[in-house]
Amino acid sequence: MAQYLLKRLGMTFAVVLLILLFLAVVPHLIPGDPVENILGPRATEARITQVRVEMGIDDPVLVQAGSFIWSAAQGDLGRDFATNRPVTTILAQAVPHTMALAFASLGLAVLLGIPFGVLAATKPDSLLDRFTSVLSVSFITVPSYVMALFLLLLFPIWLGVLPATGTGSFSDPLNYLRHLILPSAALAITWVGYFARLVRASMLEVVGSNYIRVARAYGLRERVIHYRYALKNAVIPSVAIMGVALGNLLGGAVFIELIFNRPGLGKLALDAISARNFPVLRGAILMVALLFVVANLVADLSYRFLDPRIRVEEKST
Amino acid sequence: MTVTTKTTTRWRSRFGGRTLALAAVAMLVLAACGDEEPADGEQATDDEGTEETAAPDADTDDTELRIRTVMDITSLDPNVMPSTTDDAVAMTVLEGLVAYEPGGSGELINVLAEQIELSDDGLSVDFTLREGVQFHGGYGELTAEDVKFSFERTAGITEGEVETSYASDWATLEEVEVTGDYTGTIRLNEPFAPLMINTLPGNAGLIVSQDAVEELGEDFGTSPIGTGPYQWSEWNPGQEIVVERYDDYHGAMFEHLDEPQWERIVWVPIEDDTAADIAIETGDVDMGQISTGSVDRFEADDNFVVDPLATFDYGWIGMNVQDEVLSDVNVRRAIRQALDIDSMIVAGFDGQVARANALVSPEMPIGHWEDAPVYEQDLDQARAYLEEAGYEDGLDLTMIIDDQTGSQEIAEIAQANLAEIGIDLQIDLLDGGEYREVARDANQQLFYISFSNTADPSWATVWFNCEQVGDWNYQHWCNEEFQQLHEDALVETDPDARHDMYVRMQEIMDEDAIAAWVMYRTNLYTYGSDLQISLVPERYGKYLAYDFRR
Repeated sequence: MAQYLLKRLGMTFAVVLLILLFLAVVPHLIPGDPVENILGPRATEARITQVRVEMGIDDPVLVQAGSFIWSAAQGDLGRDFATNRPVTTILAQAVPHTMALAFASLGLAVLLGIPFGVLAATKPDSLLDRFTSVLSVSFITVPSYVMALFLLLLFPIWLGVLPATGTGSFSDPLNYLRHLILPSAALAITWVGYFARLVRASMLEVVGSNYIRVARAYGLRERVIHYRYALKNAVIPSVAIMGVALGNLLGGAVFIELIFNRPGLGKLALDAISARNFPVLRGAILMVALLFVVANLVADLSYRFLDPRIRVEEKST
Repeated sequence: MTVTTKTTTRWRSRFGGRTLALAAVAMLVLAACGDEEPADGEQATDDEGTEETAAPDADTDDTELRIRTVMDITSLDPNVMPSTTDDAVAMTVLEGLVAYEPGGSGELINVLAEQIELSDDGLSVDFTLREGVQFHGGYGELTAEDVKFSFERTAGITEGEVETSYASDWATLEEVEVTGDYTGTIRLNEPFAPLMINTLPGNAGLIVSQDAVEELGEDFGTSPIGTGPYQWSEWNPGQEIVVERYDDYHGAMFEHLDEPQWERIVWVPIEDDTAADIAIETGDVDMGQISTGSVDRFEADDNFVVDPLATFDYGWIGMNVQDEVLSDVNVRRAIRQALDIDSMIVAGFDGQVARANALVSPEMPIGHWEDAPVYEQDLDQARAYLEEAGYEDGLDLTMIIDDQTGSQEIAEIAQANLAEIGIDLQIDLLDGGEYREVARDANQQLFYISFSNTADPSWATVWFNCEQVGDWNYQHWCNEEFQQLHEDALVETDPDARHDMYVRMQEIMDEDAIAAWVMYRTNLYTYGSDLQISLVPERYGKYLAYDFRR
């Protein structure tokens, strides 16, 4: 286990290093001059030169890459070109909103998707199964931004309940939660469908296995069989996919944050791209990448923790 | 198996039903909480219309005003202020000696100046300050030294911690002489026509606290200290910009308008148009600009008012005269004659903007060319021009556009129009930064763009100067007579003479066929019908937030 952990961490480290290297050269991959964008049309030549020097964008690429990685390793991601605030401060403000959104969506997807899947699996090919499968597939295929607009029309505009835009503040958790409902529902909907399909498939597989048949032969109640014995194994693939889901939700958050005007990572990155605000852009991408990598790491490890067979297999090799 | 089905059913109804019901209940509870929330005194507003939509009184409050802005601010330092959001916020916090009277009369009113007078030779301005004006945050009383500091800093005479962006608005400033605590004289090398039109009532005329700037340095832009009726409160980037009532306000503006009712004014940056529509519709914000496509919907709803404000901003299809093909004026004339501008206005802006036939809009106090030719699509004439240029067999051109509203529709119509005279137009959609880089380059051919503008035509003609070639003069056009007129018009103080000069400049542009003018922008301010807004078109088509009433 320790060896595996070490190997896995080493790989994570390598991935992070690659990301940093990529980010270091990003300013040179995107056309457009950041200085002009920041200073606006009335800036003088002297001011432009001054800012260019301050930002160091005229240094050789390798020098820039080296200094970026070195300071990033020390937790310094530079300063926002436009407002001169430290990027880490900006990230610290944006990350909680995105995390809240991603985790709320993941929670919602799991909370609704798994029961849906079990429901469908208890009576394969029944009308109920067909119904849930049609529902799941349509959930999977509806893009989150379409769902977002639909929810906005339905709740804040027609029914006049739930706030439409913004996030509220963390100091008023109930209000924050109310702001979170629609965006997380819109974002979760695809994954509700995924989890439902996934759980249904693995549930059917497990229910057909020997140990469940034995359990039935012992006369255990079906509910106990499903929940105490079958689901435990059937849910493992879903756990594995949660890491991917979380990463995907972080990516999908861009649209949702735009539509609901939430000042999270996605919106930050998007604004930074159009302003050519490279320090902020790098910071935002780095953050999303790190969250993705960590989520996958945790999913991988928990997978092994939940499924003893994987540990056993490893020992035997 | 038969036995188990029954239990399954029971389990299903219990478990599945319970979770779903729980989620549903949680949603309803949270939703319901919202209805109790706005309890503090705003229920007095009329409650008709709550049935149709929850707006606009769902979250309203008579002491807090919330306004949508398109972009977040970057800096409120008058030396920087690159976007118009900054300007709208700055107008509540910072003041100048004079200001345009809200409401669009074009009259100047004294704000920090008790008296102000331009000398007959146009070379000096004597001013006497209002006494007892206190800067926000305990930075003391306003004196003539602050005026000197602010203007010379903006003019770039004194070296500041941030370089100035508005130096050209003070192009001929020699110095500001302080003659007493409250008196001083602005001295110019040469007369400067935009001084009382654009410089003093605009960004370049805003007065900051010398002590505050020296103490705060670069941070001044995000914690500005001025004398306005509202003071800087907080800024949550991407979320809100908040100013709050300043109790020690000297009161100059309130001699011209009633005292404001708002304790706080909040700007909410919402970049996405759809999100903005929803925020306005649900009352998340009280006022904001909407996209042209949403006008009909809001106008049809009795709960909302759409207030179109014609601005001085202009959009045009420009032609790079240094391009090999486009260097022939007949090719440019052919293009101008082939374009169907009226259709572009309908397709690009839902017919919500005014058609432009020249650079300076009719709203501008001087400089509008009333008799400018209106080019209607005339394909035969266009073909004749092309033939004259020797391109009767057709040619290929490229047009660059950015992602501004309407750009794409305009380009597509141009593409269809030009195809009819045998020009194969390729459209390149570039994002803001890249667009600018390509446009500055002498290799591009056609482009569509719109520029913002303020109340003096010099702010528009400047971008067509020779020294702007390779910078903002995307036409790469340099005309000596035009250039000379631009410089002369800056120091000419007779408005009628200036008017004629600007008209002549537009005639030159027309003769050289460097552009097909498309539109003058209209700002579509939209708000709940219980709100009254206050506009200052002379300042980039902005509004005076604290003068709104509910």
